[in-house]
Amino acid sequence: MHSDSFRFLDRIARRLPFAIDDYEAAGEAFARWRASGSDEDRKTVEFWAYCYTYRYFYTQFARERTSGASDLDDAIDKAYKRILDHLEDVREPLRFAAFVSVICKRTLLNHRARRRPTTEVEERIAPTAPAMTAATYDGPVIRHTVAQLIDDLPESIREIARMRLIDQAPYEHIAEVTGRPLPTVRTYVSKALARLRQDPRLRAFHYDDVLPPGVERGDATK
Amino acid sequence: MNDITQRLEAYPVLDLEERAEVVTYVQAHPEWADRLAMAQELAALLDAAGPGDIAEHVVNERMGLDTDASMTDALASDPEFRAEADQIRARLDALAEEAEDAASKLKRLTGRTLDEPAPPRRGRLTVAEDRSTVQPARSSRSGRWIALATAVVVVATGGLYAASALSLSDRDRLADLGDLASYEPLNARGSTEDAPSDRLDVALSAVREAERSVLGLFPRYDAEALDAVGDDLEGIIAEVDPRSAVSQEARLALGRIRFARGQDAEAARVLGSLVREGSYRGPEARRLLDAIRMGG
Repeated sequence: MHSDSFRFLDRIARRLPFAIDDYEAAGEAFARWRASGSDEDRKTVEFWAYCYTYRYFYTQFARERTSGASDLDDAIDKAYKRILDHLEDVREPLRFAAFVSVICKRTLLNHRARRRPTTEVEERIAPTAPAMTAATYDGPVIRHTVAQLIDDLPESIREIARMRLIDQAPYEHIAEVTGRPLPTVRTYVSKALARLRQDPRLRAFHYDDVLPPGVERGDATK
Repeated sequence: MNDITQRLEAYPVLDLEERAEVVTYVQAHPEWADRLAMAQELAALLDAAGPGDIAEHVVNERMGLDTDASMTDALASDPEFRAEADQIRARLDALAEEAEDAASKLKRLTGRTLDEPAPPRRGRLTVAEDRSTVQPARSSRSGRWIALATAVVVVATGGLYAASALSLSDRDRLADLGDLASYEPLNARGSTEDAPSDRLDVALSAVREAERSVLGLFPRYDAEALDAVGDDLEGIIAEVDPRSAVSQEARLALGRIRFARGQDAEAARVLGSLVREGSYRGPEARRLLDAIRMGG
């Protein structure tokens, strides 16, 4: 019955001492396992990563129309094995969620790259198109992280950054609501962007900072 | 385009048309391609921080995770949106049905199951393990008797449990009140709704107290005690946000209790609300509703 897997994942989630979308707690659990080396702590890490991996690939494959169950199985297997194989190598334990997210995203990109030769030429990604689109990222973890980064911005630019970057409000609307001149709003958004661009918590999702030595950029499945 | 540096800096907050202009410019000026790639990576991240989509909502719902209230509202009020969600649900269910089940996969990849302790560590034996391995010859005869006795007990116990399971009525099996009694608290999942979830935990722990059995075999439930749990759940449901996890868990539990007690109209009312609202408990509620329609 189809709900068997969902029920099992629900049971695992209930066993975790924190919610699946509590990414800070996942990082702390990972750091705890690193410090203790205990099997119980490792089990928590493995269970959390398992639920995360499933949620990521279920979401990605639910959006697609062309991949089947065997593709889903293959992608989950590859990503999860990759995560387990490199648990010892994660450089920033508290950013474990970002590490897992990067592995999942790259596994998906590799999966799609392997399928690309069978698609029509006009469907291929143009050379200047982004290497990875927003849809390949895990929305919940990115949303959580960006909201956290915006909370940490100086108060003067925080609200404007939230309105533009999270709510995606037009500049004119922000200027009207906040009573700030339009050029000031644009400047504040630029300042916020500059800070976000440099923040290691965000960089962890698209640079190789969190990947262990020996893992090549853009390849998460070897 | 004289201000390409500024445009690339601002790329993540440009609208789609402006982004396309930048891309066109860079195609003619490839020396900017690396900068564009970096800008596009940041843009993809910030785009991903936007509101979640239906696929995310459906997966959270199916996995029993918290769902976005605004998405639930949108689904309730927009038939087209709802139809789209149904399509995604069907696709996800088909994928999950055809794929390897999650329990087998976990065991295959890690050797772990949810109910068993972790596999033993490899490496040096402990002193106790060492003793057990150096004395097998002396204890082999008594070991055989112990193994035989253990096997007899296991078979007998297994038979009793099988008979116990068969003694349950169809309704009791479907309502699975034993599972309800071993309910794992929402607080363990990081819920912040302390008071209502605590009350839910207390109410459901009373299901265990309502059980009358010997050594967990041939369970029966005290009708009066179950009705009291049902009343407690009604009280909780009336007080909490219907979209909260507490409300959804409480309504499913209430539906199962009313169903087990043969109070079909009451069960249908509360379970139907979960299905209508697209609750993550909807699939289980629908299964019980089907049983009610087919006469339990």
